[in-house]
Amino acid sequence: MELRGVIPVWLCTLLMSVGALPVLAADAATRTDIAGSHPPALRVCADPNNLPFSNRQEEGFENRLVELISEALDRKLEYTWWPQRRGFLRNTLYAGKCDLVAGMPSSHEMVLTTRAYYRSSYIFLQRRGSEPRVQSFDDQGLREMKVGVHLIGDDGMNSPPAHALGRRGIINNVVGFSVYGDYSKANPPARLVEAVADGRVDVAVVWGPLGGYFADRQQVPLTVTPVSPLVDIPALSYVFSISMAVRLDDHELKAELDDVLFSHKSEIRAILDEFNVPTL
Amino acid sequence: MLILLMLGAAFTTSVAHARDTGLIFVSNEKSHDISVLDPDSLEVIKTIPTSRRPRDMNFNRERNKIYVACGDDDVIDVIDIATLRVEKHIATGPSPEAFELGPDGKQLWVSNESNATVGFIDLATGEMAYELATGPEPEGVTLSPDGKTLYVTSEIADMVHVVDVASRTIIANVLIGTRPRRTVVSPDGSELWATAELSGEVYIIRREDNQIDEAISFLPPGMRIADVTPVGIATSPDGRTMAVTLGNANHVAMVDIASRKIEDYILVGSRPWEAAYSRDGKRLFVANGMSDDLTVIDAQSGRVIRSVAVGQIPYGILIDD
Repeated sequence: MELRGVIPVWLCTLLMSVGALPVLAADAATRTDIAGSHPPALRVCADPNNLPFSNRQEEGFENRLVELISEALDRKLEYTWWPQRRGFLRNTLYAGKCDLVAGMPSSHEMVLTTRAYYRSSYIFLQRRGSEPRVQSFDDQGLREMKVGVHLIGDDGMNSPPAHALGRRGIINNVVGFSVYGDYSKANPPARLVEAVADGRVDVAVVWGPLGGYFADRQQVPLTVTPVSPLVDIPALSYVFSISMAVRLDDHELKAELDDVLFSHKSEIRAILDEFNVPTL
Repeated sequence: MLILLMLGAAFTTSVAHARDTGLIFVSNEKSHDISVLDPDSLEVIKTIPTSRRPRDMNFNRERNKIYVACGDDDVIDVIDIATLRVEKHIATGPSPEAFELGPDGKQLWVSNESNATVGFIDLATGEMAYELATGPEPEGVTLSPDGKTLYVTSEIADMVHVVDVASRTIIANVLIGTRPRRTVVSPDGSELWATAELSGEVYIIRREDNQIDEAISFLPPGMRIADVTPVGIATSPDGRTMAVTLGNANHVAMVDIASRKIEDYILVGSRPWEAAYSRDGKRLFVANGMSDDLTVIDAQSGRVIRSVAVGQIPYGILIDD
């Protein structure tokens, strides 16, 4: 039962923001409902330094997706930049600074989520040709190798792969990387991928979109293998559907987003492919 | 028409029915009771108080008792059909939702949402014989007709677990759409149909290799995709049609099983949850969770015959015919 607490926690910076319950700010008034000719802006909160998801230069796939949506809805795009870490939702969506966050787990309970627009899993990342090739958390080889994972580490909650390894007694050969990292450098969570490329770890267990994107941008070729099993029994999943998120009571915006996500499936698919997002 | 009826009759001969009162039972999860409807007048003739939050219901093998899972009291209530009273409670794990009885009626499997397990209860002793761990938030439970395979959905992991009953192990995990809910084995036994509530789909899984064959998307005319949230699924007794409730889209989709084409959308009450056919296949009943009523549909014409007020948040339907 102590594991219940970890289920909603997935890695990759997004969810760490959610530890503290957001206060439901009465922010309806702050939404720019300009009466008259032009529709209100599509107000998005995003991390300015978190590729492949988003950055201030609007180079991430979430940037591209909200751009597509703003065009489809004929609404101007407005960003509020905020690092995705503890307090993110409270300080953004629930502070009335924006109406939309582009990527959250579909089962997240603090927000109203749209239809899932992709599903990915954690992956094993290794240098191409390095032996043994890891296919499963249960591989014996994993006990002998240097294994890198992201740690959240400020309130005892941990990433799903850290739990997967811990459950199997794989502890002493695990190297933790803070998912927050050094925010003065570009895309802090990518340090884990770089550690695979430069040989500081033999294998990393990384959230799929992050690993897929940065694996393709290292000096040495890396292999991407979805983890197995995809669920650990009991009740720990390494596969997540991802949705856009709005405030819990914003059913109208959710319905508009769902319409666009449904009618633009192939364009969305193409964007995800362009960013090497491994999907299941 | 006559041929259809005869086909329907052929389908049902193997099932025991001891009483044939024709009564229609609707579980109401918020008013903590079961509405009992007369099949001819379609009026509520009795309300049976139950333990808190009654949801999924099943007959025992002799069809003289109804079992109903009561999620907020962690029990399955047993109701005697002759007296229409709760006669005992079977303890389950926490928050039982859906369950299925074994083919010999001596045991049942129940999903315990907050424990992330499926419990196996021996009905002779009323004891939990063993529990099988599942993915997060297990929900729908379906036993194959031969009793050898159990299908359990995990809402959070987007999966259908395929459980080998004899060895008590999960032999496959099938990833389907978002928030899988209910499953049903197709009439010929070759397929498993599963609803995925948040992605608005029904998945058809081949039972021989546990691979997805097709996914069906729904969008009733005039509705928005955000509202299409399928949950309940019921096979017509003639084996030709699947009725799929579409949740916030307030419709039931009628899907031809052979062609997998959507043949009709029928407007019902608010947030339809579960659906059930009468044994003769003439009528389809739909429990509407947000309008607190039961829609009665003429299954041949797709025309709504009547809406009947029941308890609060009606959930499941069981017909003693």
